[in-house]
Amino acid sequence: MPLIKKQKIPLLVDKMLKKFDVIGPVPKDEKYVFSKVSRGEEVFLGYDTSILPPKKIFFPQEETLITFKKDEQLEFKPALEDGTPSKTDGDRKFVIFGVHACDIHAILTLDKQFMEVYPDPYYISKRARSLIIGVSCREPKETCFCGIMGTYTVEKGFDLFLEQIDEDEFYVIVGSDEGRKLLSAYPDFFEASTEETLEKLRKVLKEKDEKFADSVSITGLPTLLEQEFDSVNGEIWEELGEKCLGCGTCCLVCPTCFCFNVVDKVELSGKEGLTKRVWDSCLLADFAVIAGGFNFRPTQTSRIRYRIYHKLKYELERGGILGCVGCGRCNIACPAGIKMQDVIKKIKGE
Amino acid sequence: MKTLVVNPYLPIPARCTKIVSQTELEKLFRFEFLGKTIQENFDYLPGQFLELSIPGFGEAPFSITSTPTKKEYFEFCVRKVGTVTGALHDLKEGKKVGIRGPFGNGFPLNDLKGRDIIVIAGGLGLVPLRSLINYILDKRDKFGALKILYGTKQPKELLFRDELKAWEERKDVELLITVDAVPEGQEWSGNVGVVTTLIPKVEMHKDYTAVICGPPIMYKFVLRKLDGKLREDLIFLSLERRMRCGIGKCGHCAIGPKYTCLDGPVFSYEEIKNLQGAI
Repeated sequence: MPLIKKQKIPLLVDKMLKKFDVIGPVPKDEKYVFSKVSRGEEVFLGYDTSILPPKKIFFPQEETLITFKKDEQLEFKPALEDGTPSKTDGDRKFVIFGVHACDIHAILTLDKQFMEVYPDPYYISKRARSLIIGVSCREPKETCFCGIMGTYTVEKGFDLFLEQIDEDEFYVIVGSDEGRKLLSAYPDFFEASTEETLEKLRKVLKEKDEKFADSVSITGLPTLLEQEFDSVNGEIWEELGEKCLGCGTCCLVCPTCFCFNVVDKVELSGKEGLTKRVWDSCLLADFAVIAGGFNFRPTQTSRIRYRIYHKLKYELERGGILGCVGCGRCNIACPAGIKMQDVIKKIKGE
Repeated sequence: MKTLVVNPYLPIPARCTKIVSQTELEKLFRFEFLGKTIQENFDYLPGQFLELSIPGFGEAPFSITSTPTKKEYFEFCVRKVGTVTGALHDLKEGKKVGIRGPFGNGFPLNDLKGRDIIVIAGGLGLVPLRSLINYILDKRDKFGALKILYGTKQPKELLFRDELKAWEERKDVELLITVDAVPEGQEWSGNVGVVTTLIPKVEMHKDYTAVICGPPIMYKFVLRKLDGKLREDLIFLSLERRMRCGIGKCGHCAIGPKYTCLDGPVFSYEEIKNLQGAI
C-alpha cells in the first residue's frame, strides 16, 4: 500500500482538477462546507465536520424531476434527455476529496435507499460520476457519537481512503478499481510504504479505538426499542416530544435522511412547468397527513419517536444498514438542544 | 456512455373518457392511455394504485377501482378533498392527465383463489374493493363464496348504486349494506348501524378469507369483531397512507419499517399486528 505526504495533497488535487471536478471541505464562517474547488490548497483536510453532508451532491435540496406542458399540449419529459436526469455539470466525473468515515457510511445508506428496488435515475446519474476519497478524523468533536455507532472507521464505500499516520503522512487504502486507477494515473504523488509506516498505521488505529470508542454501543438497541414503544420508559418519548420544536432542521443536516416532498411549479405563461422534489422532514406536523386531513402521527411525541425509531431500528430492519452514523450534525443544529447520544444512552439505561 | 434507465418518476399521458357523478362529493373517472398499445399492455392487480398527475396542481395516489379483466380502460373513484382531487373534479371528459404505476402489491389473489371470501368495506374503502369484487365476479368459478359487507355514514353516500343492485340480485353473492345513521330527508329501509354490526349477521367458517378496507378508525373495530373467528394470516387490510412517490423513496408512507407503497398497501393482519403505528 502506498503513502502520500501531506504537502503533496494540494498538488495532487491541482493535477486532478485537470481531469475532474473536485469537491472538498473548505472553510466558511468558522465552519466548513463541501464546495467545488478551483485550487488544491482550498481543500482543508483538517476540518471537523461540514455544515451539510456530501448527501447534497447526490440528492440536492431541490431537484427538478420532470418538465411538463399543460392541458391539450400535455407532455412530460424527464429533466434530462436520454431518460436520465439533466447533467448540469456535463459528463465530467467528479472527486469528493476528504470525506470522513461516518459520511461514507451515510453514503452507503443512501445508495441502498436510492439504488435498489426502483433505482432512482437522478441519484444514480450523479453517483455514477463520483469518486470518493475519504480522510480519517484525528479527534472526535464533542458533538460526535461515531464511537457509539461504530462508524469512525469504514471498510468500503470509497475509492481511496487517506488514514493520517503522523503530522505529515497519510497511508492510502485502496477501496476500488477506480481508486487503483487513480494511483497509477498520478504515480508521482505517492510513495511505497515501509515496515515503519505499517507500524505507525497499526499504532494510529489502536489509538483511534481508544480515542473514539464509547462505553455505550448500539448492540441490543433495536430489541430495547421494541419494548420501549408504548410504555416502560414511555416518558422518554413524552419528554422528547415536549422538547422538540418540530422544525425539522435535524433532518436537513442529516447525512442519511432521504425523505422528500414532490411539488409542481408552473411558469408565468401558465402553459408549462416542472415537477421537483424538495427535502422534507418527518418531524413536520403534516408529514403523515392523508387526504381529508387524518394525521397518522398527530403529536410531536409520535413524530420524534418515529424519527428515532427510523434511525436506530427500522432502517436496520429494512436494509441491514444503519440509519444513523453518529456524525453529530443534528446535535449541532437542534435549537432545542436534543442530543441523539443522550437519547441512545437513556434507552440503554446508561 | 449513454445509460438508458427506466425513469419511475415519468408520468404517461392518459385521456379521461367518462365521468359519472356518484354522490355529492365523489365522481367516477374513466381513463385510457393515449397510445393504444400502452393501454393494451397496461396490466394491474386489484388493490394496486396509480399516481395521477394534473400538471400545475400536483400528483396524488389513487386506488384503481376498475378490474383488470376490463382491458380497454381504468377507473378511479375520487372524493373532492384537496388540491389534486379538486382539480380532478373540475376535469372535463376528453381532457388529459399523467399516470404512473401501477404500484403496490395488490390483494393476494393466490391466497384468495379457491377460498370463501368476506369483503368488508367502509365508506370509500369500497373503491379498491370494487376492483377485487368485479375481478372475482368475472372469474367466478375460480373463487368460493363471496360475502360483502358495506357501510357508509348515511344513505346518500352509497357508491356504485347500480352495481350494488346487480350484486344484490346475484345468487352467488351475499351483500349486506348498512348506514351509520339516517339524517332527516333521506330515505332508507335497510340496516342502521356501523359496519361491524353486520358481521354477526353472516355465517362464516374459520377458513374464510377477509379483505377489509375503510377509514383508518374502522380497522380496530372490525378486527375486534373478527377476533378468534378467522385466521390472522387470512385477514387482509388495505391501508391508506400518503404515498408521494409510490416507489419507496420519499418516506411519507412509512409504517414502522414497512413502506405502504412497496410492502403494501395490502397487509395481512398477522404481518401488521405488532407493527408500531399500523392500526
